[in-house]
Amino acid sequence: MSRSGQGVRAAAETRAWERAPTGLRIYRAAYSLLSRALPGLLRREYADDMLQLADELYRDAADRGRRATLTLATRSLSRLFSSAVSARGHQLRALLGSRSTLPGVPRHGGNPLHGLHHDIRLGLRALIREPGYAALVILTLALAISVNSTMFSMVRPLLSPPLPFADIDTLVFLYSRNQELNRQRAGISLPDMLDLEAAVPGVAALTAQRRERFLIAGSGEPARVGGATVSTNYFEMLGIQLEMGRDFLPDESAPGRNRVLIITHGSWESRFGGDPQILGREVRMNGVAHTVVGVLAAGLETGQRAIEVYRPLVHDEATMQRDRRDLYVIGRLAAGAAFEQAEDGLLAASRRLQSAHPDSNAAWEVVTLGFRQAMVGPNATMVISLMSGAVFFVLLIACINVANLTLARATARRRELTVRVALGAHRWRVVRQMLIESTVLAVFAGVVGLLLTRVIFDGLVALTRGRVGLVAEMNIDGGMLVFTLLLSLATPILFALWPALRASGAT
Amino acid sequence: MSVTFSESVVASQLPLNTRDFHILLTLLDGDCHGYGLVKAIERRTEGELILDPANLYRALQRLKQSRLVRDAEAPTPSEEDGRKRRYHGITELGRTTLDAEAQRMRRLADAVQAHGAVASSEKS
Repeated sequence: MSRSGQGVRAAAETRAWERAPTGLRIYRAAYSLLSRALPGLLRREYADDMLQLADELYRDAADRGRRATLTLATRSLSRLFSSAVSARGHQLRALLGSRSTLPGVPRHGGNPLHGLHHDIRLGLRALIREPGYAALVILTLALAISVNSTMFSMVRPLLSPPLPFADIDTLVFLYSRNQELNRQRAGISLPDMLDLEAAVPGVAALTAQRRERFLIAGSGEPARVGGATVSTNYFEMLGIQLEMGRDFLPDESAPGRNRVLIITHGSWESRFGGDPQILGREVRMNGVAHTVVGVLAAGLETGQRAIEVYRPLVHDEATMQRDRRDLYVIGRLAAGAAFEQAEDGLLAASRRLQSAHPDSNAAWEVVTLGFRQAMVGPNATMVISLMSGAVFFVLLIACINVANLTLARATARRRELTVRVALGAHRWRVVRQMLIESTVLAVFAGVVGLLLTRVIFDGLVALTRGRVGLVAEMNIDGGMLVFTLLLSLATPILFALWPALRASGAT
Repeated sequence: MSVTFSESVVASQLPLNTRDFHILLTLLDGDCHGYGLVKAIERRTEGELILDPANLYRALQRLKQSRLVRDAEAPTPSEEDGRKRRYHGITELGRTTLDAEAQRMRRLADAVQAHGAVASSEKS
């Protein structure tokens, strides 16, 4: 191409650059995303040039029609991918000082992974040829993977509690129960809590929390944020650390003295711009001036409905009503006290309150739960195990279905496989290629499954309105991604190994 | 060319793979940017070798590390060309290496031809 021709062309491109068609925009995004997998040096030096060139070649192909464009896009994306894989492979071999790089020895001699990127490319191409099969498999596996991931996120808090509380095993959760009204898990009223705390020796301390939404003006526009009203001993009792400032004082539960706030580290950074002068700063909350006295240590935010702001629970006429059962009460067992001892003590004390205050407390008694029970309800462990088993079987059934599909496809491909073996392909190579095709599918299914999981989460949160602690704590994070990835990598072994072995052996 | 390179430096680069060979060959015509390289190689090989961006730039990176290719100054950018293109040029070592590769291939071709002549004479 002549240089002057390029000048004209470049001008046309520059104009076209502004109004890139959707296809190009998607391609560009995919290309730039995938190019992040390239090794650092190559990426830093050439990623921009690569993207620009990819762009130019795409426009060229677009002039020749849709088919050419599709071919180009598929080819260059898959080459980019295999480039990244093989460049990383070189890096790894150089790092390990593999013997196969010695002069005179074939570079890939005996390497069972030789030609991996070739197989991946072949796999992608085979799947593009059969979009129906691919879509069916991806959808089936995605559904199964997403229910497993959802289940995983519910089981996980039981295995490793996400809450930043100290000594979880000595914490108990208190609820009011009224069999006559068929209420199993109501909150507890403030006067009941104070009486129980004084009456039961097995319990060292009780503390209360009530979730609220506050209208708060930080650095920007006033916003509704998640907050909580808590007893003044809340942080001390749960062992929650402050990064700076002070805890609530005992007398800040008195009316008029409670205009103080403790904020989370995240809120301090996002809403107050990390203001170093935050302590003592006046903040309008629900239209009333409050003073910030403390900031919690970082990393204490959990779940989706995070609490950002805490204020002390005031003891006044409104809150001291016995029939106002709206507090979430947590207790700390006294040193050496057994759970049953505290449970019996609290139940007996609540029965004494029934006779002392028949108007408000008739038929109400206190139920005590350990941490793990409280997170999921009674018989939690059994229910969770049963559910986990059930969803695992869903995955297993999905895998069996997909295995059938894969077997049917392998039978249809017998001619191709026969030719490969006849031309000297090792059986392992044939099996590997089928496994790789399946893994490519499963990874796609994992991604779709993760999106579905997200939808399921939102659905569950909406369904429970955030009232079930376990659901509110669900989140897609690193652990979740790893779990889904492992699941995606494990399923091909379940659904593809047998068809692959059979098809390759039958030839 | 007055610059000479020790034979071992040049020999260590041989044989060139097809991609590197065509890149160097194209750069003999003058400095060029990525798009120009892809198009020129496609044309010369009549569509046999179509480089994609990832392959091209990995090759260029490698060629620059072995000092066969250098970064070249872009000609004065035209007014309407809003985007900057990076130009690449061949080094003296690149020319020498390409030359050595051509000789190596010629020897190979000669050897095959000689063998072919023997084979045909045996048959007759």
